[in-house]
Amino acid sequence: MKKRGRAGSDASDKIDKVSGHEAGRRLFFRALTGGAVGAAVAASLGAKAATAATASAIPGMPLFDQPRGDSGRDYIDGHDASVYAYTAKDGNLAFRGFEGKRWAMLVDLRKCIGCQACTAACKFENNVPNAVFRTLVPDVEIGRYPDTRRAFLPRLCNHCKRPSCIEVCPAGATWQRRDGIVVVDNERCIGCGACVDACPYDARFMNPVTKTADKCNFCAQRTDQGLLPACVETCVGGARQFGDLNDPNSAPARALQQQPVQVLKPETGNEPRVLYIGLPDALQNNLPGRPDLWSADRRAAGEPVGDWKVEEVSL
Amino acid sequence: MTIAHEWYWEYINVVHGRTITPLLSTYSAMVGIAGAIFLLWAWRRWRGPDGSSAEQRFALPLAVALMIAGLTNPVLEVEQPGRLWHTYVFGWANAGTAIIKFGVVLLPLFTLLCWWLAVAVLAPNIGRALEGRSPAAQSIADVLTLWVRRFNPLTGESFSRAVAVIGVILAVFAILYSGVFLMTEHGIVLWGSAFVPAIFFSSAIAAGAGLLWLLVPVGSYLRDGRAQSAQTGNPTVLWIAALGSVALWLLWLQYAGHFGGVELRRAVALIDGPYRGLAWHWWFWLGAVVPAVLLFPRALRSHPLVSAIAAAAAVIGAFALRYALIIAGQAVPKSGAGYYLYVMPPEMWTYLILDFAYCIGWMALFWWVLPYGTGAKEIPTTTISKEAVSHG
Repeated sequence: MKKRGRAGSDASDKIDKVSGHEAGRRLFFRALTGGAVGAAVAASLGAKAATAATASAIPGMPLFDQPRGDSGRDYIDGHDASVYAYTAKDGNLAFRGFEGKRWAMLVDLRKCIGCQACTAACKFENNVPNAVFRTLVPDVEIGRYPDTRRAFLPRLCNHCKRPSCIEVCPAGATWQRRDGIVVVDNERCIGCGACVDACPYDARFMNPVTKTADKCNFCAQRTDQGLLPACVETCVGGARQFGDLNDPNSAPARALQQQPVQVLKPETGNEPRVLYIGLPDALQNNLPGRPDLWSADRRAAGEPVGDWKVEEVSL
Repeated sequence: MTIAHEWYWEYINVVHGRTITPLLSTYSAMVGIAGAIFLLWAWRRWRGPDGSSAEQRFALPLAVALMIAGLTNPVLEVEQPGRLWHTYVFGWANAGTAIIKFGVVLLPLFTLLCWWLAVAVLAPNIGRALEGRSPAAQSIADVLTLWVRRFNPLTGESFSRAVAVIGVILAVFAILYSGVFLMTEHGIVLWGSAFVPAIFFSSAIAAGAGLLWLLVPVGSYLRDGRAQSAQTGNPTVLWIAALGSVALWLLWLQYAGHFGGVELRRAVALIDGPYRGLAWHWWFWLGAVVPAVLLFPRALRSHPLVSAIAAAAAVIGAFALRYALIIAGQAVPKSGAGYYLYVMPPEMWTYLILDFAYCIGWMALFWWVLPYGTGAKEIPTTTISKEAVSHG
């Protein structure tokens, strides 16, 4: 039997004329295809209607808190539209977070081996595009010759108690949840980059795919479900630990009670909630890197971008 | 029951506050020794096929058991091992320079190759064992033995040589892999040296020869009814590799003392300090010097008991070496955060015992299930060596 293409060709028309069976089969497949397309359209319309129903406004509830039904549409390359895409089913948990909790991360630099497993886990968990990172362990050289040495520092959003990035957002696209996680709504963000500049920790960046601000969100899609952030779960050396500061038995809370714990740039008054053990003085106020808008796009265009070098640091 | 449940979750490492543990050293040693066993097996196969020898029949199932048990450790340690495959889905660039992107593919491939050749040696026995069985049973057995009944990789000379070469490359990769993996962890200065994979290689060869010497007679006794020894060249291989380990270790410490920075010297000081027992007593003296000295006289190399003592020492040493390097290295990271001395918690012994029991379980399963027959005579299906063919 001859294999036939989708579109009708001269050859297939000839076959149709010669063989009544072939013509009949062709009609049958046409009918079948048409039915399938019709069913798909009907199902799609039904789903849309159902989505619209679930997304209907709740009287009396502020617009900001209204549940959303159709978030989660994918951009190109499969990058998720927003951090709460798949937790919308839990009502407003993704928007408002847990009441009574205060999430924090503890990074024990004595245990970090610089393997970048956290970096890779974060990228895969959150579909972070190439050349930008929500968390990274930059390896830097500090000091001046001949008194130099190499050091590294796991970096991520500090989820500050007083985040300076929120106040500068003109679109209300970033806010702090009740459990302390600072999140970004990529659908509201207008991509002005004010928050990227405002962050004293260089934790935010412009996502080259969505063209909006992006950053670590403590894997809210996971923590809301009772899971650990991907970087914490993957850390092979146990250097990253995650917990509730309001729970005295959590790892960060215990660390605060039992040993000296540092934060980055304490003088900013942001009160970060990413805590470090063993943070060298040379890095505490001299973070590697500096804010650089659209760094991924500029790098792709061959333009110079900010590097990870630390400047003017004494040992 | 609650305790067991907690231990289980701790074992699969959902979250923990500990540093890298003996589980990594166990994995490194097991995979390395498996690679060494394959090298020794292929070398002897190449020189002259003797499928009836006990070592040819029992070595590769042992290697497969070591690979399975070894690889289980990092898979559990990583948690969500599916992430390891993302590189192949989302782009090679995501893995950067990480060697893990090769290990994810090549180590399972090596395990499969070991298994393929392990059952290939026994192909005639497998064929006979399946005669008269139901078609369904035969189909299942064919899948599990990789259709070796229908296509035996050891029957064609050129093909079997090609398989052997590929296997040797994969085996060398398996031995070096964990050492190179540690070498690329830029946060730990003690690991960041080419001495690490080199000394892992020599210790794995010594331990592989030793393990064959110790276990092949056991398998032969259990299945053949009489304890055939492994190849007599094993003690010589063990001796040479142990001597190489001694030289490499001393050379490395000299290098660190003369050229190392502050962190490296601190890490070496830990080897001479809190971890002295592990690094010097268990690894250097017992695992390297004792085999080298015991087997130095040629007469003693042919003595089964002396060789067995040396073999056991080399196997213990291979594990102790890796454990010492891992915990002493990670105690002084480059971050400048200071020391973090690892003290093995008591429950870690449970995990280690489980680990070894797991490996022994796989080995016992293979030796029990595979049709070894009653010994010796039915195998030679293969001709890797032309010379052997002409003599055979």
